[in-house]
Amino acid sequence: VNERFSKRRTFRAGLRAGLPFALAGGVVAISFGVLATQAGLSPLAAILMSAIVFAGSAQFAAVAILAGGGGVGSAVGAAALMNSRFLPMGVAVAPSLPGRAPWRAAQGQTVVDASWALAAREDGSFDRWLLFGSSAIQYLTWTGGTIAGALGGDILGDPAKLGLDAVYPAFFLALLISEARSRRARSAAALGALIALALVPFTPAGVPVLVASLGALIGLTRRAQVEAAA
Amino acid sequence: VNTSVALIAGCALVTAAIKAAGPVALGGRELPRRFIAVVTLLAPALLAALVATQALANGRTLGIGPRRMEDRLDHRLRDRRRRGHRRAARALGGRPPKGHHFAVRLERVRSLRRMHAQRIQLILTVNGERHEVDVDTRSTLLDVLREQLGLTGAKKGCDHGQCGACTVLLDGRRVNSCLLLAVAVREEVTTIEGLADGDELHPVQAAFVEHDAFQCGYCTPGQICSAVGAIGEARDGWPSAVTEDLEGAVELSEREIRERMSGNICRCGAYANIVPAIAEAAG
Repeated sequence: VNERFSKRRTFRAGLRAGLPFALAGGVVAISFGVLATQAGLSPLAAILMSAIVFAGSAQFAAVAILAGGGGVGSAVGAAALMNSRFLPMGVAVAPSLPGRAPWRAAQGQTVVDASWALAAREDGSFDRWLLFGSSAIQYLTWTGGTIAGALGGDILGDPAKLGLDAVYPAFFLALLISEARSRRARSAAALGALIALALVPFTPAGVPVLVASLGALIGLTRRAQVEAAA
Repeated sequence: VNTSVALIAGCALVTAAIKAAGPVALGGRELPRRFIAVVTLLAPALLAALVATQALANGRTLGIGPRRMEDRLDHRLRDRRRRGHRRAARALGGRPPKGHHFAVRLERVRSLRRMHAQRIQLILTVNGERHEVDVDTRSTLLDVLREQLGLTGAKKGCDHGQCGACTVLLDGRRVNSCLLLAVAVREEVTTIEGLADGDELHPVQAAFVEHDAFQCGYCTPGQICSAVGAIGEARDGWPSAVTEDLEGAVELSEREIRERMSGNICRCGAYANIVPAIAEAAG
């Protein structure tokens, strides 16, 4: 009884913790809805895409390629590239997910950027109910925002004019600030940013993010482990 | 519809697969930090390798497209002619150049470049209507309008931006459509065909009829679109070279109209009627 109670409580805490990111995500979703319908998807398709795919950067990348005249294959390829950051994230979460393989796979679907960062504990494990809670609220606003954007896009006009396109970077910046508390975390972040900046001119979208994650290796030096233990 | 279904299904599948991979393979187990490090290290490396092989298979090296490859080979050919075989041999790493060697590589790169050319699907919104067009990347907006969309109102006079007969409006701003690549157009296009509201003429069109502001009429579509744009610019307070007061909306005096319409040339010389027509439409 006690355990169930605490599960429910962490889930609710997750809902609350995820709320600011969910609101920002909702605004981003509005602009996704507008862009997707402008790119030639029907409103229904745009909404379905958000409801089923639920991965912002990948959706933007795929739709942008489609709008630029690219094929479905390259659009899906770009989505895969943008999503490949979930691979190391999934590996990190894996030890904290109990159950058989299909159940673990299902739980793994709830990994999104903000929830993953929120659910991370100091010791490297993850609070899965916090993960579920914060993802749940983000799922609601993401789908809701897309509905608003896809159906009300004509009223809204060009999302860039309202500055909605600036919400996405701000979203990740907020995540970063809450994570980068220690000096070492900050240097890992700076290193990652440098790597990404250096690669952006040469490589397709998605690759810089991945290679930049090498910056995280700073956290694995012996001294960092000693500091973490202390 | 098929495209949408394929897109959604494809994206959903890859996303689900990527998210499931870690938990399925390693779930419920305590992992050493070193292992996580290796995965973070390997995932980008694998991916970079994948992207690189793909790029090479498409005939591109990363960052160096066929275009630049061709330039480099061209350069080497010229070099060889100018300074003799020995210099070229050094450029190729000491191998004695064979005549066909350069030519064959150059031809291969050229054919790759032809493959990479050149047609693109665009969505153009013209006069409130969405059109999906398949265009050569080099075609101008004017040619696409006239030849692919059948909107022959905008005229090709000089085809290099001097006569204004091709003037159309992009989100209300005037452009010479003969100088604008169709692939660069993201705004809504309005041509002379889109100005009237059903049977009711646009005020500028009505004023042109009223004042008999044309003779042969060839430049008229451009004149009218340009006038609509000019009236809008004056209303929004954009100054011209002859505007004295830079604050607030501009009043369209004859001098202002002549200055602002100077990009539209009329060989019949109907200016004497064009100017009053625009003055009346501007109110």
